[in-house]
Amino acid sequence: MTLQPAPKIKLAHVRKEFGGTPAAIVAVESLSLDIRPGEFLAIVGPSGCGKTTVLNMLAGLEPVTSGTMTMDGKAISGPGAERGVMFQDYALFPWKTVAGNIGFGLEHGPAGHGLSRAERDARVARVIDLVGLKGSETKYPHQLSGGMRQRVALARLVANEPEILLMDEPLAALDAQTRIILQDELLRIWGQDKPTSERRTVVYITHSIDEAVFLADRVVVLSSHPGRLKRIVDVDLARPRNDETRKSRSFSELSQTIWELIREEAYRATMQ
Amino acid sequence: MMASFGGALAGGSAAPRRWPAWAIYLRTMGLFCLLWYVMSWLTPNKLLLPSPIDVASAMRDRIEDGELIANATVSLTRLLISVSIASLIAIPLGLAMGTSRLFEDLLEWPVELLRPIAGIAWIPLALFMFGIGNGLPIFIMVYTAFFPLLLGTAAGVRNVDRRLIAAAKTMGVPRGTLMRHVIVPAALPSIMTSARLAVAASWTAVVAAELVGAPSGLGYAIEYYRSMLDTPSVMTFIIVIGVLGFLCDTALRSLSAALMPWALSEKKR
Ligand SMILES: Nc1ncnc2c1ncn2[C@@H]1O[C@H](COP(=O)(O)OP(=O)(O)O)[C@@H](O)[C@H]1O
Ligand SMILES: [Mg+2]
Repeated sequence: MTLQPAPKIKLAHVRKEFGGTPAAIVAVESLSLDIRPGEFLAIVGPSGCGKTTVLNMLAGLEPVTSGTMTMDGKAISGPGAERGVMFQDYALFPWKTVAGNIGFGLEHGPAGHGLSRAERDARVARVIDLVGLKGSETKYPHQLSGGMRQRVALARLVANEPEILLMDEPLAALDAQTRIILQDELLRIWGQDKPTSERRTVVYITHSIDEAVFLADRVVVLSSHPGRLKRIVDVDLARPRNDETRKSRSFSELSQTIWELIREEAYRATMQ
Repeated sequence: MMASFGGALAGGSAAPRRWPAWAIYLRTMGLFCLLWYVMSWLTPNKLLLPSPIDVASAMRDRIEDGELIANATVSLTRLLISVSIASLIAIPLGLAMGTSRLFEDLLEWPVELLRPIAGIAWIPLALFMFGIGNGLPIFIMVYTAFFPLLLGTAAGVRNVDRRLIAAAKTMGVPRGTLMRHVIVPAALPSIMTSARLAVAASWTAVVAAELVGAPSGLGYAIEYYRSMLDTPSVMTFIIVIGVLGFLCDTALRSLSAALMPWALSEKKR
């Protein structure tokens, strides 16, 4: 038994209801989970199972109905720049260009403190390059395709370099090739070549099981209606992971295991 | 197959060309003037409906004696001053109303009670308070422009996409910055629309206010030439009011486009 470091984020018996009694919708029920510092945690589950709700609570945008949610031992009571969010529907500022959106946190938030104008611009340019948006810097969000908007949202999160990255289906709108390239980039940004102590903490929602297995240290499988913890699957694939990982036997075995776990859930959710 | 498809397309583009916008406009105006001319010719009393030709010559006279430019300048200046004053009060109040429950509760009732009262209803009272001069029309116009600006701004702020505010908050943006760099730009389309409404309403009110309570301006000129039984000049000033109102709105639309390039191209799509 190895000694685990103190959890970065701790969820204890978290419950979330929407709407008033008696017609309240229970989105999340008795969810207990430790998120370790420097870990890449994926959350999978059928749509409507409460993944986005969990992320919003982690971000401090939604209060928990009951239970506790703490970060470094302190209750999460609101949003903070140390927890960056990439929203499922992007939430880009329509009046800002691609570069303006990506640089927003650097210009107006603590992420840019201590950086000169030139340093901020350089970081924005680097991140634009990273997500393949070179040449679209001066476009407005409505002039972009869905996939490009998603990359702007990803770039905006990455540019802020938050300690914890909360991502809601960040690559879902991309074509297969771009998705694979950005998966590799994500692992690099997260710090897969570095020791665990220097890695950021990532909570990554996806509906792609392969993606969850390829990226994550652990995969949390949620069941639906209400969202509960079904199983946590440890992904003990070696790092750094690359194309070899995708072809390996253990990769497909793990994917298969998770698929079987959520198959009945997905079926149940679809039939509702 | 392809050939017939291409042929159909080519046939479409070879069809008679649509008139350009300005030609359509001129054609409509020409028809209107013709109708007007016939009507005036049928009207026995030229005082009731002067012909377009009489009006055109009156317009030339009023340009030459400087009356037209002088009165238009006075009215436009009043409009500019009034809308500026109204904006300076109504937009900050609207922002406060849209973001703070307290302000909304405080302002809701007075606004709901005052809003249905047309600006011109205050003219008799304003005559006592301000007498004849600049005060009265400016008071009436500020009053008229105030409500669309206040309510449009408040509604714009209330309808700001919550996710954008959430996104800014997760980037640690402080409150003041949130107002300036998220809420105001997100509400700007609504604020600009209400500014157009305010200018249009205010421009309507200036004429009414000047008819009674000012020694100058387009409204005053109408009243003056009416008392001189000079209907062609009265018509001249009515036309000028219409044209200037239209030009003000066009100017505001260009301002919107310049302020919000992102919203403009959104519409063009
Ligand atoms: N703001 C809200 N008000 C009411 N119900 C909500 C709200 N947000 C989410 N829900 C409900 O909570 C459940 C979980 O939603 P969500 O977290 O978005 O699921 P997922 O992201 O896994 O698809 C759904 O049944 C959804 O209808
Ligand atoms: Mg979701």
